[in-house]
Amino acid sequence: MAEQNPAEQCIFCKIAKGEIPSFKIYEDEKCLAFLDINPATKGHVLLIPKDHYHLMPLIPEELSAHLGQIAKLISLKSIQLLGASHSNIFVGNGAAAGQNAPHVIIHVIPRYEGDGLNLELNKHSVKPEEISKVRELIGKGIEKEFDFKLPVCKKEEAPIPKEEPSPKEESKKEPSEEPKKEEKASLDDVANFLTGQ
Amino acid sequence: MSKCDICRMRKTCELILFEDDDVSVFLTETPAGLGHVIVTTKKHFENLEKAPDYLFAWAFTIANKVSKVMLESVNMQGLNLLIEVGKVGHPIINLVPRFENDNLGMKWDPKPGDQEELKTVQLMYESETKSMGVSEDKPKSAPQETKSDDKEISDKEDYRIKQLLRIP
Repeated sequence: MAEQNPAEQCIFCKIAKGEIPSFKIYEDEKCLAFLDINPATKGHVLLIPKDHYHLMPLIPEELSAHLGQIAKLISLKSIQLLGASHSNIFVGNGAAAGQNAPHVIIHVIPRYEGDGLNLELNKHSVKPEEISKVRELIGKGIEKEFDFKLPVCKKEEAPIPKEEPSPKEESKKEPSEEPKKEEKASLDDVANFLTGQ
Repeated sequence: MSKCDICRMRKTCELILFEDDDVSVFLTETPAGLGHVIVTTKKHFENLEKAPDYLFAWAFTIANKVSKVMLESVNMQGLNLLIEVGKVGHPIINLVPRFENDNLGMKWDPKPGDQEELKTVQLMYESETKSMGVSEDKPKSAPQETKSDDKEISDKEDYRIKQLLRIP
């Protein structure tokens, strides 16, 4: 990151500080919730941390727990107050996921019958091999991050990658040769991408 | 409960990515897109409102850490977190990897809102959220929990967070 403090340029930091007016609906020392002036539906709320973070995963545990609780409460309120059928809590990380500002925004979007929003997750069936491939890929990171050991599954018919049943020492140390490895996206890449660096 | 797909999948070994005493993380059998991960409470609740705040907060925290791992380990261009609040069924947090032109939707056209409507909605929310607090002040609609429970919970949470921070 360059000399310039990105928070100084950030419109959401200015809203959080009250330098730009907003339709505030909730505020505490850590976060601010206000109405989106370009709402997807009636009652669309933006919940932001007061401190500047580019991406949700950069937010420390304590703050994410707090934001999660507030988002849940606002979400339930929106159903109660506005007669919504249900409500979505939505976060976009990266432009491909709909993030268009370099400050974390948790959207709370009340949903109404026939509102025409496309926020549904369609279900697709996939082959078990594809799932085990993805599990292997993400599982490695999970094991490191959480001090957790993925359970080894003893199922004959499931086509398991070679490495799976191997003893602890091997699978832990030696990452398998993933063809995609060189292209691996890191969190920094995504953050840089967002800030145009 | 036996018919709950979420309860079944979270116990399916081939799908499991992480679990602790309260929270399960797994790959769904029916993903919206490649690498669609679900984070949920182990305990079955009928809907999110029934799940205690502290449990949801913990699941949300885990979901955020898993997002980080996903962004670092899969070649994706973005990631969405989506929760459907108020729908009946075992509440879940969806983490969906995003790629350019994946046609998953999940965006909307920003249209300027009506100023009067914004003001009205603000007043409605404001009157309700003023008393809104975390942990100590449960909203009236939430299932009642005693104060002593809250204390226990925050201690528990602290312990777990410390445990989570431990690096192998």
